[in-house]
This record gives sequence, C-alpha cells and structure tokens, in this order.
Amino acid sequence: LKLSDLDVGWLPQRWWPEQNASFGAGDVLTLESSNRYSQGKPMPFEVLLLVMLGVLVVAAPFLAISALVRHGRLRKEFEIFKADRTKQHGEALRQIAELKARIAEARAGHVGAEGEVKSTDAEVRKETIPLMPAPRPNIERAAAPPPIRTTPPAASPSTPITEKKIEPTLPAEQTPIISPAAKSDGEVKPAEARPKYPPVTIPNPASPPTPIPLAAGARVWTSAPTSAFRVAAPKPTFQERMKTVSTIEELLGANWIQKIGIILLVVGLAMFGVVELGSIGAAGKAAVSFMASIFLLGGGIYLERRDRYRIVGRPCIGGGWALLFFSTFGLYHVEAMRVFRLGAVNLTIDCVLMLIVAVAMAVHTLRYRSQLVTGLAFLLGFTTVALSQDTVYSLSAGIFLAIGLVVIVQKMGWFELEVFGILSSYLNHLYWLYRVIGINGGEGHPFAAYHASVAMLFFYWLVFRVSYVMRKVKSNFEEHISTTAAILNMFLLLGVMKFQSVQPKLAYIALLVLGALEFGFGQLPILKRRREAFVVLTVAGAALMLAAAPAHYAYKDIVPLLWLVAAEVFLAAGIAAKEVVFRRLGLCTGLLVAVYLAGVNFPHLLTARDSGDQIILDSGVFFSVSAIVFYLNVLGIATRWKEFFDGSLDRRILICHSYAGAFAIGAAVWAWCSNAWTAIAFAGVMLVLAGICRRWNLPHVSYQGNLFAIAAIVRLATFNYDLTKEYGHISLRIITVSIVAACFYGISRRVTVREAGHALASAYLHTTAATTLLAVLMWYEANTGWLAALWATFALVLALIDRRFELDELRWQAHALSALVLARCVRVNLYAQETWHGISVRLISLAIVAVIFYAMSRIVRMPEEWRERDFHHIYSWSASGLISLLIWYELQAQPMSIAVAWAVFGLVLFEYGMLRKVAQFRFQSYVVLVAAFARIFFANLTVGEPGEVLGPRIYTIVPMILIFYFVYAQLSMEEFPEERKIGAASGISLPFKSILAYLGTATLTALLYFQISQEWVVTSYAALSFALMGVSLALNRRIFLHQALLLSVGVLARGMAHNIFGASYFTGGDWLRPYLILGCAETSLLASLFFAYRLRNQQEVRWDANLFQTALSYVARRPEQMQFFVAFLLLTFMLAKKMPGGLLTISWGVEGVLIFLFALALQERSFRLTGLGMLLLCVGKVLAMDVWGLQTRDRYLTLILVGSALIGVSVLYNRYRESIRQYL
Amino acid sequence: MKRSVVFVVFFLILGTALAGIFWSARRTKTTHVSSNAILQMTADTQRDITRAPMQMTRISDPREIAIGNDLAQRYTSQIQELTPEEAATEAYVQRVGGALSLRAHRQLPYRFHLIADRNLINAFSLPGGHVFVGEGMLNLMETEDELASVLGHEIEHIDHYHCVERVQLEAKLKGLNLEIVGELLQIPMEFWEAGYQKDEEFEADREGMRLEVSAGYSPFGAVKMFERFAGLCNEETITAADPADELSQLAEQSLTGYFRSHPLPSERLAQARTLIAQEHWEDRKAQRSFHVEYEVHNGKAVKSH
Repeated sequence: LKLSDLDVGWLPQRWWPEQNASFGAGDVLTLESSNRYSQGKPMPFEVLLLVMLGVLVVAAPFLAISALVRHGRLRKEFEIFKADRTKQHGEALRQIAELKARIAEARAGHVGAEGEVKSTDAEVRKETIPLMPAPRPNIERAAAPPPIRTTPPAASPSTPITEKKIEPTLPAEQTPIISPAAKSDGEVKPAEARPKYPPVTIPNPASPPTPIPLAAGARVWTSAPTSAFRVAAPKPTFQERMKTVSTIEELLGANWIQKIGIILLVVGLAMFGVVELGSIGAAGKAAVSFMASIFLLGGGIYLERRDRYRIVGRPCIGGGWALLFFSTFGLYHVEAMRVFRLGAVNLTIDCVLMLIVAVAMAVHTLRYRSQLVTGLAFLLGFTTVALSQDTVYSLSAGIFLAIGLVVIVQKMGWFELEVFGILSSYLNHLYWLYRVIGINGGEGHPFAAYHASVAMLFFYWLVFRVSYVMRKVKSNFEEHISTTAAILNMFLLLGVMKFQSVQPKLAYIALLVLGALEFGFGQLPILKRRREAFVVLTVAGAALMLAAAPAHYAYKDIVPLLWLVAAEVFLAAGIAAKEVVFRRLGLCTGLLVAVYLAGVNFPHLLTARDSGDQIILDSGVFFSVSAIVFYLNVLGIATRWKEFFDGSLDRRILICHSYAGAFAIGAAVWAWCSNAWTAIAFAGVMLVLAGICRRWNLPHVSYQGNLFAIAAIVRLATFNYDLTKEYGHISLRIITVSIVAACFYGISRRVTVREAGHALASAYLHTTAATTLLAVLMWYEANTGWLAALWATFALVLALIDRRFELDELRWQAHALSALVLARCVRVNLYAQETWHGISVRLISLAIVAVIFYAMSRIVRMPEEWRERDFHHIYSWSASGLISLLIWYELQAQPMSIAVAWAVFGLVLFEYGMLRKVAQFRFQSYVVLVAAFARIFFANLTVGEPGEVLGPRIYTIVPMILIFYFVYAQLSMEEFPEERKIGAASGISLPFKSILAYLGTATLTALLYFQISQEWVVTSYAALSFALMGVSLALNRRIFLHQALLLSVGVLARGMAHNIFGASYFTGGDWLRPYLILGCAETSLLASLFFAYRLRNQQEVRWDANLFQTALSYVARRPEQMQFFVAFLLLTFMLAKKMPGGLLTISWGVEGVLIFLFALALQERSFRLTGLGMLLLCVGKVLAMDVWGLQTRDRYLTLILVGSALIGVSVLYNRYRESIRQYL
Repeated sequence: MKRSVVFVVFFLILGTALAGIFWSARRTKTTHVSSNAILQMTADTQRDITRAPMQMTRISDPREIAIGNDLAQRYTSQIQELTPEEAATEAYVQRVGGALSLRAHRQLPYRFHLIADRNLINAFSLPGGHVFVGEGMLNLMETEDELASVLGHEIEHIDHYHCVERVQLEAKLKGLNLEIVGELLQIPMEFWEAGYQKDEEFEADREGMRLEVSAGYSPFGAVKMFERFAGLCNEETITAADPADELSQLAEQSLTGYFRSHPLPSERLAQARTLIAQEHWEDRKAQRSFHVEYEVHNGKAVKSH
C-alpha cells in the first residue's frame, strides 16, 4: 500500500514526502533503520497516530462488547437491588397495616358487643392483605394502586377508624394493567392513565363493616395481573425514549470520552518522554515519566474515592499504572530513557521491576473489581510496549503483561479481558515484525531475531492456552468467550508465524506440532467437564494436523491418502472411545478427502488422461483405495456399529461418504479404463452398486448406480459410437455397446431397493436405455437401407420377449421402434437406390419390414380392450401401406402397372383375410382396390397406341376387373359381420360387397369408354347392360340388375347427347353409321328384355320410402320398362333427327306399328299404348305439318302409309279385342 | 363355391394380373401419368350437354354471314395496310383457302385475311366465312400442306358452327340481341383469337384434316404443324418423387387442363396420328413447298403465282 495512492489532500504538504517514504512497500525498514529511530529520531507523529488509531479501531469492538456486557450485569444487579428494596418496603407497609389493624382491633375490644364482627373483619383483612400484589419496585414509574378500603360494618359503630387508603405498589411487569372497571367497559388504558384500583376499605368502627367476600377479594387481586398479559405492551413514550438517548449520551460524555482522553494523555506523555525530552538526559526523562505516572495514579486514586468523580478517577488510575509500567520499561529498553546500562543483569533487574509494576498494577486495579479499568491499564501497558520496540527483547514486556493479564483473568473470571490481551500481544508482535521485516513478511527475508520471535510467540500461545485450559467457567457465556479467545489465540499465532515465516515450506512442522499440542490439550482430564473446550481443542488440533499434509505436499495426490488414513484413525478412535467428536472428525475428514479428490486429484487425472490412453496407475490406486474406504465406512463400519451412526447428521455424512465413494470409483474407472472400455467399466460399477443396493437396501447407492448408468450412456454416446476399430473381426463398437446394453437389460429389475415405489419406472428406464443404445448402435453400424429392417427385427425380438416373459415396457419399446421404422421407411428406404446382389435394397428391406409388421400385428401384446378394438392392426395397416408405396416406387418405370400391382396386392390381402378370417386385412384390401381403381384414370385408360386393340390398356385393366368381380364373388358367398359392424360404427353404410361389384363394372365401363371409338360406346354400354341382365339372372344377384339399369340410363344419355345431338353435324348424313350404331344399342336393350322379364317382380316396391327410392325400387321391380323405353326413345329421336321431313312421319308410323305388334307379342300394355301413341303422334303430325309442308309426292305417300298403319292396327285390335281386354 | 375352385380361380386371376404386369414391364415405351382420361371424359360430357341447346337456337346462314361481315369490316379497319410482299402472301393464302373451302359442308362466302404481325403466331375465324392468319404463324410453315392444315382447321370452325355458336353463347351471356349487329361489334378481336373448347378444337383438327386430304393435301402437314407447336409449347409431364407429389401434380394438371381452351399439342398430334391410321392416309406423305411468287409494279403486287 502506498500512501500516495490515498487521498492525502488534507495533510500538510510538508508531511507528505516523509509519509510516502516510510510507508512505501519497497522501502522496508531494516533493523538499522529501526535503530536509527530509536537513537533519537522520533517516530513521525502521524505514523504513531495512525498506529494508535488502528489499535483503537481493533480494540474498540472488544471494548464496546465488554462495556455492554458490564452494563448489562450492572443493570441486573441494580434490578435485584431494587427488587429487594421494594420487597422490604412492601413488608414495612404490611407491618404498618397490620399494626393499624391491631390498633383498630384493640379499640374495637372496648365495644364488646361487636366481637364477632371484629373477628370477621380480621379474617377479611387477613385474607385480603396477603392477596395484595408485591410492591412495585420502581416507585416513580409505578402506577398508584387502588387503596385498600376496609368498610366498617354498619352494625359496629364502636370502630371509629377513618378510611385509610393503602397504596401498595405493583411489580413493574404489571404496569400495563386494566382496572376491573375499565375491563368491564372494554377500555384499555395505560397504567398511569387508568383509574385507581378499587380501594380496599378498612372497616370503619363508626360504620357497620361490610363483609367482603373472600372470593370477591381474590377476584379483584388476581384478575388484574392476568388481564395485564392480555394487553399489548405499550410503546415507549417520548420521555422514555429520551431517557434512553440520555443514557447513551451520558455513557459517552461521562465515561468514554474521558477514557479516550486518558489514553491520549498517556500516549502523549510517552511520546513526550521518548522524543522531546532528549535534552534532559535519560534519567531526567525517566524521572519525568515516573512523576507523571505517579501524578496520574495519585490523582486517579483521589478522584476515585469521591463518588461524583469516581468515573473519572478510575481511568486515571489505569493510565497512571500504564505510564508507570512504561517508565519502568523504558529504564532499560527505551534508548532515550535508558538508565540501566545494557547487560543481562540490568535487563533482569528491569524485567523484575516491570513484573513488580505489572503485579502492583493488577493488584491495585483489582481493588476496584472493574474489568474495564484493569483492561485499560493493560491496554496502556501494551501500547507503551508497542511504542518502544527496539529489539526483540523489548517485547519481553509483553510477556509479563500477558502473564499478568492471565493471572487476573483466572482470578477474576474476566475472560473478555483475555481476548483483549491475546489481540494486544499478537498485534504488538506483528507490529514489531512489520517494522523489522517489512510488509511482505519473512519469506526470503531472514532476520536475526527469528528464533526469539518464535519462542516469544509460542510463549504467548502457551500462556493463553494454559489459561484457557485451567479456567473454571460458570456459564455458557463465559465458555463461549473462552472459546473465542482460544480460537483467536490459535489463529493469531498461526497468522503471525505465517507472516514471519522465512521458509513457509516448513510450516507443516509448525502445524503438526501445534496441532498435536492443541489436540493433546484437548485430551487433558481437566477438560472432561468442559465439553466445549474439549471439542474446540480436539477439532482445532485435528484440523491443524490435517492441514499439515497439504502444507507439506502441496497439491500432490498423496494428500488425500494421508487424510484418508487420518479419517479412518479418527473413526476407529471414535468407535473405540465411544466419542462422537472423533467419529465425526473421521467422517468430516473423509468428506475433506472427497473434496480434495474432486478439486485436485481428479483434474490431475483428467490432464493425464488427455495426454494419453495408458493406464494411470497412481491415480487409479488412489481413487480405488478411496472408494473402497468410503464404501467400507458406509457398508462395514456403519453397519457393524450401527448405534454410533443413528443420528441424522451422521447418516447424512455417511451418505455423503457413499457419494464420495461413487465419485472415487468413477474416477478410478477413468484412470484404469481408457477409450472403449470406460463405458463397460461404468456399466460394471453400475452392476456392483446395484448389487450393493439390493444387498444392504441402500437407496442412495441405487441413485449412484443410476448415475453410473448415465455415465455409461454418455460415454457410449460421446466416444464408443464413433469407434471404428475391430476386435477379432467384430467391431469394437458392437462389442462395447452390446455389453453395456446387456448390463442394462440384466440389471433393470434389480436396480432399486426392494419394495421401492419407483422400481418399475427405474426398470423401464433401464430397458429403454438399453434398447435405445442398441437401436443407435444399429444406426451406426448400418446407416443404409438395411437399418429399417434391422430395427424392425429388433422390435420383433422385443415383442417376442415381452410375449414370453410379460415385460410390459418391452412392447412399448417395440412400438416406439416400429414407429421409427415406419418413419425411416417413408423418409429413407423408399428413396434408396442401392442394390444387393442386383436386387433393390428398397425392395428387400421394405419387404422384410412389412413381413415383420404383419407378424407384429399377430404377436404383439396389448391390453385386451385395445386388441378388441383392433389396435394391433396398426401394424398390418402400416405394412400394407408400405407395400403399396413400395409397389409405387418399384414400378415407376411403367406407371400403368402400378394399378394392377395394387389390385393384385389387394387380392392377396383379401384372400389372406378370408383365410385367417381377419377383417382388418379385408378392409386393407378394399382400400388398396379402391386406390387401384382410381389409379387407372391417371395411368391406364389413356395408354396404348392408336388402333392398338390388345394393348396395355386391356392387359392391365382386364385383370383388375376380374379381381374386383372375384372379390365380390367371395364376399357374396357368406356373411361378414365385421363389415356390417364398421358401417354401424361409422354411421355410414359401407356395403363393401356392392362397392366391389360396382368397381368391377365401373372399370369395365371406363375401359369400354376409352377402348372403343366414341360413337360405339353407346352400343357397348347397351351390350354390357344386356350382359349384366343375364349375369343377374344367372347368378341371382340383383346388384347386376341394378347396374344394367344404370347402364341403360347411361345408354340413353350417351345416345341422346353424343350420338344423336352431339355428333358432328355433317358426319350423320349417311344412313349407315348412326343407324347401325344406335340400332345395335337398341337391339341389345330390346334383347335384354329376355332377361328382364325373368327378373321382374323379384323386388318389392318400397312404397313407404321417399319418392326417389320408391321410383328406384319400382324400376328394379319392372326392369323391362327401362330397357324398352330407352330403346324406344333412342329410336324415336334418332328417326326425328336423321330422317328427312317427309319420311319421318312414315318411319314413326312404322315404328308405332312395330311397337304395337311387339307389345301384342309380349302382352305388355305399356308397350302397346306406346305404339298407339306413336301412331296418334303421326296423325297429329300429318294434320299439323305434313299436309301443309310436304311436297306432293311425300304428302300422299305419308298419308297412304300412315293410314294403312292405322287400319292395320285397327284390324289387329278388333281381332284380338278379347285378348287385349284380358291384358287390361 | 368350393374353396378349391376359389383357389384355382384366384391363381388364374393372379397369373393374369402378373402377366399383365410382366407385359407392362416389357413395354419399351414409357407411359406418363396424366389426368388426360379425366379431362377427356369431362370435355366429352360438357360438349354433349351443350350441343342440343345450340342446335335448337341456331341462326340462319344469311344472318350469320351478315354478322361476320360486319365483324370482319370492323377488324380489318384496325389492320395496317399490307406491303406488296404481304399482299402477295395474302393472295397466296386466299388461293389455298379457296381450294379448301370448296369442299366445306356449308357453302359460305369464305374470305381469307393476312394480319401483318410477325408476333402473331395464331389464326382465327369469324362467323360467316372470314379467316384471319397471323404473319408469325406463316413464318413457322415450310410447306403449303401445313398452311392448308391451318386454314382447314379454321374453315371447320366456321363450317361446324363453332363460330356462330360462340356468338350465340356470347349474346346469351351478355344479353345481346342477335338481330342488332351493332351490339355484337362490342366483342373484341382477342375474343376470337382465344380459341374454342377442346372438343371443338379436336373436331376442327379432325375435320380440317379430312378437308385438307379431300383437297389433295397431305395430312402430314397437320402432323408437322402440331409437332412444331409441341416444340414451342413446354408441356408438363408428371415426374413425381412420391405418391403425394404425384397426386398434387395430377390435381394441378387436371385443373389447368380443364380451364385450358386449346388441347395440348401432344393430344392434337395423337389425334392426328390416330385419324391417319383410321383413314389409312399413311401413304399421303408428299407435301408441296410453301411458295409465293409475285410481281411488283409501282409499289403494288400486281400478280402472284
């Protein structure tokens, strides 16, 4: 520290350079320079002032504590004194009251007739008076108590005693009291303001005495203090607060100020003697100093005898003694005051004199029994020694002071004073050291008085330690103060020795010796009754001895081993001696070992491991031994001597030991096992710990096992998975990860204590970890198209194991793995391009996955409710989806074959579902078949070359049609309740059978639409309608009838829209093509009447349904109507569109006749009416249009033919009239 | 049905299907996934539905000719005056068109106009017999048969009432009175350039080829033109990465295909080849060169050959 760095602007300029020089870090004072100061050049005043202020600052807290403690004691004594006084006062009052009562009794004896009454009054008084509360100690502050009023009996006029009010005082605690009256009104008032207590009336002889019931009296006097506790303590009033402030002020002004003044005076005188009186010679100085001290001492004694100035006198006494001591000290030691020549004899004489003065000082000050005064005297003594430290021998005065102080402490029990003495002794010595060796301490700066200094410090320590050991404490407070002093003694000794230490590396010797001494002191029999002292010294000694190890072997790995030995020794001693302190010392030392291992040894190990892969033997041994010892403590010692470790603290420390052991064993693994084998070692430790946990039922060991499990996983993840080396043609990665995973699986059910609540969760976690490890291993080993297959196989194995051993978590892992497989397949495998022996890996891997998924859907365990709801078929659905996608990808070269392949796949699924009677497979087949059907509209219908008949369109779509119909055929053979259930569950009727049939017909219709030329489509539809009618009749399947009718509607629409109206305006000019096309269509429809008549009336008309459904059911019941009228309409409109104007009427007439004949043949009334209607239409057309619009030849031809037709029809009607009537 | 029969049938069908897949795989020509089938069915249905109402509201030929003349007069007034070379080219177009129109079903006063715009690679027709050809379109041609295919296509739009039905539809949509020609003049020229429905385009292609052949031209002129259009038009073929991608592309193609007026050149080309095969025109491959000769006197083309 440089003063130049401080703000010294307030200092006079002339002081500044000197201060800078004297405090400079580089300007260390040597012995010569210190001698120079002592040879006449005075210490700078400011330096001295700063030193004194420093001393004052250091001493102030202790002085303040001491003063407060003293103040408290005095206060307590004062209170006791006041209580005695109050008690005496109360006793006096009671006696007075008793006397008065006797006087009144004597007077009443003259009355005679009222004897009974008197006796009654006496009883009342006797009972009342003892119930009076104790007199109040502080009369000034006490509230006036209620007067005791004794009411004379009304019937005893002979007791003329006037009413007297006795005002007994109350205890201070009863100040906040509520009078009965106030209580009844609910008022709460301070004691001063409350109304007077109800007076206790002394019976007046002049008036008849009123007997006071005993209970009432008791109620009056017992309720008051009780009620006082119910009221909150009143806040201090302003006056009280002011009193407190005044007390502090008084304390400062009357006490402290003068003490400080005395200190300054003594210091000033000492300096005056040392510095300014140089001209008058040493003897003169000594004489002046002695005179001043005697004057001060005498003045103090004089003042102390007067009460008024006693408080001033005592510090003067202290100061006088201090100055006297200094004067004696200066006779030899202070150069400026030296009277004795240098020499051993003179030194001895001076020391004897100083001892005499010190003893006299102590003896004299003890008269006043004031620790403060005595302390002040010693403070001044130490201060004077500090001022005049020339050589190390100058400090010998301090020893005497210390001895004197210790004697006083022992005699008077002023243990606080010892704290001050310890501080003063060591700080004095430190100050001297600072002056001798500078601020940087003794390291590298050997000085001549080193050994003397050591001896002196040791002597200080010994004196105070003996004092500590020998004392007899009366209270816990004294013990605590003593403890403070003991600890301070040790630390100050260590601190100062450290400061002066020339060779710090030898500090361990000091620590060992001191520790042993402290520990030895602690074991002295004298301390048997002072538990705290025993604990303090034992712990301190042990701590010092333990500290010696790192002091000697700084940051070396052997330290924890030494500590470990010490810990076990302590532990053994604790068990042998049944001493908890030793046991806990052992346990705590063990923790220290753990901290050291973690903070020092382990970083060394990490560094060593970073530099190479070889085994680190020493660390491994250290950590292994430590781990064994830690676990032995937990498992062996704590189990064998269980009774010693029942405390919760011991148990906690033992658990810490257990964790320390876990850490040590982990570090040992790190040291012993490098690279790939670390993870396996971690897993092995996990196994061992699990075994221990199971054997000794220790939950914390289970947690440690879990930590090792995590460590193993982390190690695998960060190191082992990247291994590429092989070990015997097998990847090291496979070996290590598999072993660890096997450990996890093996230990999963035994990793916790028995009956642990989380046992199952822990088992799940372990097996999940193992499964994850293996899955990741597979990813590393085969991150190709094969990974999905590997994972799927793994999932299958898990599911099988679960099925065999009922390990619930395995099935969930299988599910999770399967989900991964599915994602992997969709995201990776479907795009895989690699091949294996010429076969697509995508094909093989996805096929394997699909097969496994199908197997999983069969074997995987699930809750029964889930299985009933077919949740396990998520697997089969996934498999089917994968295969469908696989087909799409594999057949990309020819997209038109995808639909066929899907249809084939759907067929296979369906057959499998039928074979095994599994509805879900059938449902999957329906979905696939529908997809195949949709697919043909985008890839199959438009393929092929123009004019190609047996092209890809045919050979890809026809098999699909066959498949659709085949599936339908099988569905129609038996009932499938599952299909109905699906429809019922979804609320939508899903007639899968009908859908399949319609898919077949729709596919066929679409094929015809694209395969046949546009004009002939209508004919093909009509032919298909005919065929479907036939099939319906042959197979007795109404669905084909419905399809035929739908197709007939299509024929009508297509024929009307495309062939009649939609065809090119100019390509229909010829007769052949449209008539041929539509004629064929109409013929097919009419031919279908052969089947239609056999199919009619097979379905009931649903008259109760809505109009549309009713119409549909009617059409289905009378299919011949649809077929006939579609053909009729097409023919009629075709004739209307294509026939020239004149021939239209003729052709319609012919059509009508033919229809009529046809109707007669079929005996169908609706047809006959249609024929008649056509003829009538012709008549109307002739009359309305042809007669007026046609050319002559066309006109008559029309008339002839239409007329002939009408006649012919009429003839037929007449001929078959009876028959026709039957049909009507 | 006995299970044995079922199995036999099952394996038969399976064999058939697998054979189909096998033959598909052996097929060297790759087929593309498209929505053509859906579009074709939709277009057919749409056409069939609209034909009947059109026939029932047909206007007479004289009325159609009058409307066409008025429209042509309005549009020709906007066309800049032709250079002698362009005039000679127009005369050449008229000569080829005249030869074709003689074989049309409806004998209307067909007239052919050249629009001197090199950027106009299009041709369109108006009701009543007016055909307009852009100079850009002529620049694409190498043979007279190609010109004949274009003109035949436009003649068939008129011949098969496509133009007049369009007027009918437009008048119906805008509430115009067909008897008042002035109202129809509001229809801009771009309306006619925009093309017709797909089925009408196909019909015009088909009938135009027939007209071309009947006039002595080669049907391969149309094939050549469609091939050239295909080169100009970037057709999108679906090459999907996965099924979802294919579905989305199909949906997009279906929508755009439905709203597209002209069929894709590939579709037109396919129809042309189909027609050639059906009509056995494979041997009519010889084509005449596109040849215009003219003489200019005083800045005017006075004679063309």
